[in-house]
Amino acid sequence: MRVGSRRFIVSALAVPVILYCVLVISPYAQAFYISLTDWNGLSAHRDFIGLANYTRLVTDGVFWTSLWHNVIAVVVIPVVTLALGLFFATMIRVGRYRARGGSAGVRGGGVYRVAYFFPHVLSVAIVGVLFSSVYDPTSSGLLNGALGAVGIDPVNWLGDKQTAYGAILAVIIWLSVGFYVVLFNSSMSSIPAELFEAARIDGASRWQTFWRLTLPLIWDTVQVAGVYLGIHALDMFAIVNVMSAAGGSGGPDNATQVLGNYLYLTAFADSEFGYSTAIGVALLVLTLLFAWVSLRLTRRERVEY
Amino acid sequence: MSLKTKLLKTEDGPPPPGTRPAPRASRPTAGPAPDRSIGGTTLNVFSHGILLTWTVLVVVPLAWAVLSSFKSTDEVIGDPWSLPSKLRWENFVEAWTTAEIGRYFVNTTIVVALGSALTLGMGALVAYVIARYSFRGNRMVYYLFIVGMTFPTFLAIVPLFFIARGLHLANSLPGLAIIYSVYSLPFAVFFLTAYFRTLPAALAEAAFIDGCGHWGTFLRIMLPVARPGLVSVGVFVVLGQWNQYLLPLVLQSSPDKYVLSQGLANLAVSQGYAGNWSALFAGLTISILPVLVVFLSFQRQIQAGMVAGALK
Amino acid sequence: MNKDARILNRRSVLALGAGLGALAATGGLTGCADPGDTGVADSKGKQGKVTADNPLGVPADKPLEAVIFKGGYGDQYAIDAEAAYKKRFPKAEIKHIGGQELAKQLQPRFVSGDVPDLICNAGAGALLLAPLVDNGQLLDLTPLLDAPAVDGGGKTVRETLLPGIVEQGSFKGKPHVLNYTFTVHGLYYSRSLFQKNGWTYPTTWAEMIELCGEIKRATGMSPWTYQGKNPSYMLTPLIQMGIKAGGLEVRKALDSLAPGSWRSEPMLAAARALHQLVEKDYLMPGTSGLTHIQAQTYWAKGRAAFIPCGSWLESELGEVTPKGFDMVIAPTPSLSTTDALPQNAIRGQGNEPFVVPAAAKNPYGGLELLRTLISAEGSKNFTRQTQTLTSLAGYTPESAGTGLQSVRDALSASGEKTFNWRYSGWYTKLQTEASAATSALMTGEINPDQWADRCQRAADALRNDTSVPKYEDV
Repeated sequence: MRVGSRRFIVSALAVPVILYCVLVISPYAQAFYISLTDWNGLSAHRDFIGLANYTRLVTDGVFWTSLWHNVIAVVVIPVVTLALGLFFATMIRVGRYRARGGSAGVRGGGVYRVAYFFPHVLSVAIVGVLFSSVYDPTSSGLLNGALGAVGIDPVNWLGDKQTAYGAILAVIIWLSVGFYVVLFNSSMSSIPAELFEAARIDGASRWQTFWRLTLPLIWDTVQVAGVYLGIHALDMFAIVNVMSAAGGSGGPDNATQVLGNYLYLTAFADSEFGYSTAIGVALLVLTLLFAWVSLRLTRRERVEY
Repeated sequence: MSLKTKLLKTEDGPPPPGTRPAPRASRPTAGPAPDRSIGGTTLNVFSHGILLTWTVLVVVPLAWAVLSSFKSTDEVIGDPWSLPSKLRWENFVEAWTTAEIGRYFVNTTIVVALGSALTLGMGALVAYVIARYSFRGNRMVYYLFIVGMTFPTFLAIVPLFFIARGLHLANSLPGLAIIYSVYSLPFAVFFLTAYFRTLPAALAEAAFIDGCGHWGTFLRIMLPVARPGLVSVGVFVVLGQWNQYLLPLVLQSSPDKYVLSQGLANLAVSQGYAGNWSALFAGLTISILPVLVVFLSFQRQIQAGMVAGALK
Repeated sequence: MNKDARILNRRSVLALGAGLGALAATGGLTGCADPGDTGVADSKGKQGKVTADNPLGVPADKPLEAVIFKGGYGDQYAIDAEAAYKKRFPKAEIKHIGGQELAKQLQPRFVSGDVPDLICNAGAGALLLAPLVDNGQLLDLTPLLDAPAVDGGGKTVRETLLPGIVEQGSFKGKPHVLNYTFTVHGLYYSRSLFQKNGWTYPTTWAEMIELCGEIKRATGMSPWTYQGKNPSYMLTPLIQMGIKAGGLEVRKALDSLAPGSWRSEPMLAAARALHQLVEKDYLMPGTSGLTHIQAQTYWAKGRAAFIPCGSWLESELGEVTPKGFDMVIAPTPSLSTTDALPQNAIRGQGNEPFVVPAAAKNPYGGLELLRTLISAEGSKNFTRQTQTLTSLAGYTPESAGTGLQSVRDALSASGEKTFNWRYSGWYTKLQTEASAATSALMTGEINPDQWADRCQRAADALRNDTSVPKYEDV
């Protein structure tokens, strides 16, 4: 080791590691203990109550509703987003391998990529505010106004239990798709054009080319994207908190409630800090479960080329 | 090796043997078969149709918000497709001053700029030490940071709320920036450690021979070389922090310290405000347009940075 | 792939997380944090000399800190009162904080014991008062209530307050909270609109239904809307009609979580009555998806004739209300001619709860500031700024819009029959569930019977849950 290495290492790591331990690691560690207490967050007093918060979770209907909504999000958002992303990315590239020497896909592909990508850089909360107006239940809303033009009565998107959660999921998909179009587009452009040429000459249809050639070759990227989307879908806090109701109730009647928002309400509206932390632990378990499942699902044979 | 570099390598390097049917590939470029041309055209029309539909779905809500920001409240609750009878710039004045969107905007800019700078600074330093120095506890430090990537922030939020208040980091813009940066740190360390490992060891050796100390080597040689990696992480981190909602919602309880997402949501749903919808749309527009400008100016870097960040 | 174990890709990060999570779950990572001791200090030794001028014995040189909710009413009225305080005690440093989401601001301060001297704990995100009272963290306001009122002609503060205000701020008989404003709850409509169309406000529900039909036929506008995303706004008239039909026993049953309290005939009758609005399609389409701001704006813009609200509506809508709209409030119609309470009985309730923390450094300063606020002068100033009444009895506001005038008329007509219920503040879980059930009732998803069942289940669960502290009016 060089002279002064030790001093450099210590001086370089000290500030980041201390800040990180105090502000990240210690809250995580404390959370496990707080979840075993009845702390109401209003005084220093708290009693150790063992697993009582966890047994309460088991019988808490709202908790299970929220959990179920999280599970729906984790399945629906990745599947729909990836499907649309792949579809649009294919559409953008589709011209390329047909007309040889074609540049980067259909004309204006770059424009599409920019337009599609843009919602992804907006803050989710801001998009939530925007779509609360788009979904206005009267004919003044953008969506209901459009439906009215073709003779459909206004739909109470966010006020009706049947449509509220779906409407919120659609917003997340709306803002996510563009990024995956760009991502897949970039992966697809790395596939040697000769492979497509070969497939064409072998008489493969476009459909076959996509399933047998494109998809297997970018499957790695698709999987990573799926895991990434899934982890984001476990959150859902900002969008539900902004779109569900004043104060983010997760309504109507918990029809849009998710664990993150339920945790937030339990802590900062009901002042049940012990119980809310138990919900946080449940969310951690769900995250790890998701990690485990995706590891199992993505164990794969690598396609080499 | 990461997927991204792997793919790039395939593209740049020679094709693997046996995959390219050489004689076919050398067909003349001109003169596509007629059937192909017709098929291509139809498909092109079709794909443009599909692609345009989604473009409309993306653009129309945003354009509608911009348009509505010029309307009066009466016009807003009227026909959504009508045009504003005149351009009411006063809505923007109202949003910027009375509704304090201006203040939120400035707050957000300060917090994200400071937070991202701290993230990159600390992240690069930690990553460099982990990647380039072997010492006892090296691996432990690395894992310590990586754990933060897998744990949901929600789990930490209740204790963090009290810790931040205790340390006077709540209701403070630099305080929020510090908290943003430590929660972005795991990703930065994860990404940059890998990046520093890929840089040739000879670089640092040469720097040392030239008489740079440890800090000098890091600041003057390694950081500039790692610029592409820092840009990628930077794009990711800036967008992530710009997007934050949970942390400010919990930590910034006094309205003069609100960030944009929080302030706008508050304007939209909070009690106590009269229903000034045109100011709300003006606020939305103020929140969206600068992002659009920045995005259009740097869209190549942003797209590339995000793609690289996601695939790591 | 790089085989170096130290460099992870996303897959291995996931695996690592799973492993660590397992470790944590088995107890490997339990932290321990013990926030410092909370001083639930007594207020002795914090009082100065009591004189006729200074009946609470405020130490003249002690600093004073007030945290005031800054919502629809603003906080200028409190700043004005602080200026008056400063005039009397020039040596006192005054710190004023106007804010929202007070629980987030103040919770950690209560935990650490570093609390302000006076808090106006209102708005969304306010502190939960019941647990603070249970912990003994709020001062008993008896010294203030027994002190002479400012310019009160010898009356104590207690004697100058509206009836029911002291009781509403009491927990187990002890006054810990003083609700500064006084609001009544009823149905709002536009008097000019009604005059133009020759409609009169219905005094019975049958007339209401008839009028709704007429409104729809004659103008095409929707008879009713409500603040859909906050369905408690609709629960309030429902309970009012139930209590007026069945009398104060209905209220007592609700507040005491009595078995069958939500399934009583008057409550069911009220639910059936409101449900008629759904059956006959008299609600504005999409109402349940509206925020309170949207619903109130649509109402003010003439999309619906009635909206249930508290008397803060006039100040909340402000400039949005068109000129000549002339909003007025009216008590809910009687369900039948045999109602126990007269139709003009209205729900009156104190709002904007002021509290003094027990551990305050200058509690008598806090009490004195509150005494200044609730004086005739402070009240007039507040009403001028907000078009809302304070809890002071019998002062005359200098100016009154149609809304405020109608509130005063409604209050004097209701007189002794003014009533209130408390469970919603004591048992927030019940209020949340009953509101959600009301939302379902008003979208036609459940019928009145199912509505009552759902509310009853929530009340029963609370009654049987020994971990929830119970309250009652003494």
